Formats: sequence, structure tokens, C-alpha cells
Amino acid sequence: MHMVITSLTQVIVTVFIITIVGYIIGKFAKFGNSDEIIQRDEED
Amino acid sequence: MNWGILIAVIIYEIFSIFIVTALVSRKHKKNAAGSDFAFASGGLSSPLVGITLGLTLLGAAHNWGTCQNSATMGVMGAWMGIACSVMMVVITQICAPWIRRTGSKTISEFMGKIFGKNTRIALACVQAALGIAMACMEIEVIGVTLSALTGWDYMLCSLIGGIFAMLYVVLAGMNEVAWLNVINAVVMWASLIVVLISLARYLPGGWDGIEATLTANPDTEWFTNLFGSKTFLIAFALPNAIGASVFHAFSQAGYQAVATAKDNRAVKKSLWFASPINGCFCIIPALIGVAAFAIPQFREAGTMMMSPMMIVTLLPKPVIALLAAGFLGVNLSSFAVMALAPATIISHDVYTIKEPHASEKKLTKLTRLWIVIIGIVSIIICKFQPQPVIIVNWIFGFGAPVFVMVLIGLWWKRSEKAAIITLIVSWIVLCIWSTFGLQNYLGLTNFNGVYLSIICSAVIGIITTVVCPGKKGLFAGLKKKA
Repeated sequence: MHMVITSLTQVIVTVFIITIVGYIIGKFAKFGNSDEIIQRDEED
Repeated sequence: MNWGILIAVIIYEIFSIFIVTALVSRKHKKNAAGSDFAFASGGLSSPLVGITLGLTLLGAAHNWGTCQNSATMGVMGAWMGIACSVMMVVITQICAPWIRRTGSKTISEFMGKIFGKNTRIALACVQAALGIAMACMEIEVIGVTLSALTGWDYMLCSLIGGIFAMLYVVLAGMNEVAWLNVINAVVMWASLIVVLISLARYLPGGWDGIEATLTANPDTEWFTNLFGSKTFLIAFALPNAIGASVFHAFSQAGYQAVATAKDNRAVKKSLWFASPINGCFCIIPALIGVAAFAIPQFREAGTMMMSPMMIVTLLPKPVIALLAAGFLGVNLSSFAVMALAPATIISHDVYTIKEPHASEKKLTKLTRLWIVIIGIVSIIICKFQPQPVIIVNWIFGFGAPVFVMVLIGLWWKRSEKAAIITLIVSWIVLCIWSTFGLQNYLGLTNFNGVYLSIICSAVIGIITTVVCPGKKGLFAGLKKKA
């Protein structure tokens, strides 16, 4: 049972750390917050 | 033969499909737009988007594929899921909002907006082919599940599973698949937890017995540790995280669910659902696989069939039925998007070259037809495929040049000539390395094709972009928050 509990805990903790770090990264990536469509070709 | 279990599982799947389809159709009766089928009219909330994204990119490689992996790497097979958590971050927090800001419905359309028509066609052809390969893999494991339950020939089970899978996606659309995914997510997680607890009772010696068997042998001692082997961390976990991220960041399968979100904020919030659902999944199949591997009676059945055999032999019938329903639901959901993605590419990117003003109704009809064709092709060739995880890694390698060129084209410079050269040369190099066996010939089995593909495409992409004339990057010079 030790193997099951240890590996389950390790996976859950690792996944949640990745998710939290990822969400923080998303907070800094503000370019993706807007829904305005960019049509650059018309400017070129 | 487990007729009772098989009938119960099929009734559950059919019942869930028809009930959800009827309820969703009633709700959206007034909306007759064809785009509803593939993109759910772009109005889904973050939980639905997250669950759909988490489940559609969770399939063959996560369940039976991870059980199979456990025969060579023990519980480290769970890194397949953890790697996908990294991928979910890249998709939801960075790349998908970029794609949505170009107003593209497909990845090929997105590439076309950055580089031009020829890049769009090249990518559409390759992504459609890769999508078919992934759909094929889902049919393979649906066949394994049915074969374990019935004892029938694997090909017959693939045929029945394939027909069922085609009906699943042809009858439903993206909206229905999204709601079916919610039901499947609950059933799948419930079944896995029940199996894990049941195994503690029915395994010879319980989980402690399995652990004692593995640790007694120096060759398998590290099988019980998630961080047991540095070699597998470098050769399996890391390339999976990088490969999954670079491939699905700009793949139709990764984008299809995100394209249905109501706005970019919903996309970003969907990470809280997609990442845990997908990322935590693999540890339970890894443990099931480890248990099957530790018992000689099941190990002799081979890596693919050892886990299904163990479950069918040891567990009570209601638990088997629950697990089969959960696994089939997951694989049907994955097949739905894996088939829908190439079918959407073919109808929206390839067919529109011939008929640019085709109506949405006509494109939806064509998408449905292509889903049937993809299903038939998948059934025919699924027996000839290697292990799911090997296929997945090979497919991931094709995403690296797309990822590199999208970054260059968005933020630096757009040159169609550079994009075409980089994509084609990198894909050829990957095929020579993996498909034609150069990797094995040189004895570099730990140097994953994903690494080679990234290095190759970065070098060629940068050099060709410098040399070839082009326009300013699509997003270059824009304010961070438009």
C-alpha cells in the first residue's frame, strides 16, 4: 500500500504545482486575455 | 465470455449518447447553424472546455498504453499524464489564446494567415494524416477492451468498436461530445478509484505483496518509485512533456476543444479542469500495469493483454463493467475528436480550396462523411500499429517544426519559403530517424525523435528566415494587451 499512496501523492502534488505555476504564467501572458481579432495583413 | 458485462457497457454507452444528444438538440433547436456540429457555436464555459480538453487528449496512451508501459518502467508510466499537465499549460495559457486572436477555426487556417496558402495546404495534409493515425490508435484500444471482455478475436472487436465509435461522433457533434465527456469523466474516475481499492482486496497478497515481489528483484526494484530511473526521466518523461506541448500547442486535436470556448478568459480558466483530469490519470493505469506485471500468470499474456486479463480474472463483474464503461467512454471521446479534427481539416481547409464559398451545412455534411471514411481506414490498419506510446512520440515529433515556425512567424518574421523548407526538411529528417530506423542503427534509442525534430527545425527555421525575404511577424510590434 506504501507504493500506491506514495506514488499517488507524488503525482497529485506534481500536477498541482505544474497547474499553479502554469496559471501564474498565464496571468503574466496578458496578450492572450483579449478576444480582439488581429488582422495584420491589412496593415502591411 | 462476459455477456452480462458487455451488454451492460453497451447499453450504458448508447443510453448516454442518445439522452445527451436529445437534451442538447432540444436546447439548441433554434440554432440551426452548421458550425454547431464541429465548434459548438463557440459558447462553452470554462468547466466544459476544460473537461473536454482534458478528456479528448486522454485516450489510448493514457489507459491501456500506460498499463503496457508499466512492463518496462513501472509506476514511471504515470509521467505520461504529468507531461500532459505541462501541455495543458502551454495550450490554455499561451498558444490557444494566440490562435483565437487570429479568428482561425483550424490550425491550417491559422498557419495560412501567418505564412500563406501553400503552408496551409502542407500542414492540412500532414495534420489530417496524423489525426487519422491517432484515431487508429483509439480504435486499437477500444478493440483491446472489447476483446478482454468477450474473448472474441481482436480484429472482430476492433470492427465492432470502430462502428460504435463512428456512430458516437457522427450522431453527436462537438456540443454533445462536450456533455458526454462530463459524464465519462465522472464514470472513468469513479471506476479507477473502485478498481484501485478492489485490487487491494483481490490481488494475491494485496498491494503490499506486489511491492514486495518487485522490490525483491534488483531489476524491478525501481518500478515502485515515480522517480526510480534517471534514464526514463530523460528518455520518456521529458520528451513526452516537450513533445506533447509542441505538438498539441498548434494541433487541431488540441485546438478543437478550445475553439468552442466563449472567450479567452474561459480558455485560461479551463486549465483548472483540464490539467488535473488529464495529468493525474495515468498513475492508476500505471499501478494496474505494475500489478499485472508482478504476477507471472498475467505477465505471460504479453504487455498489451496482461492488465485487461488480470482485471477480468480477479475483479467482480460490477467492477469490470464500471471500468470497461469508463475506459470505453474515454476512448470513444478521444476517437470523436481525433476523427473530427482531420475531418474538419479536410472539409474546411482542403475542400474549400476547390469551393471557397461552400455553405456551413455542406461542410458539416462533408465532415460527417470523412469521419466515416477515417473510421473505416482506422479499423483496417489498426492491427498493424506499434505500441500506442511509440506512435504518440512519433506523432509529437511532427509538431516541433510547426511550433518553431509559428513562434518565428508570430513574433519575428513571416516567410512562406522559410516555413515550407523548415516543415518539409524537418519531417523528412524525423522519418529517416524514426520510421526508417536510423535511430536504432546508430544505437541512440534514448535520443527521442522529438529532440532531433526541435533542434533540426530551430536551426533550419532561423537560417531560412534570415536568408529568405518576408513580412513582419503577425503579432510583432503589437502592444502586449490589445
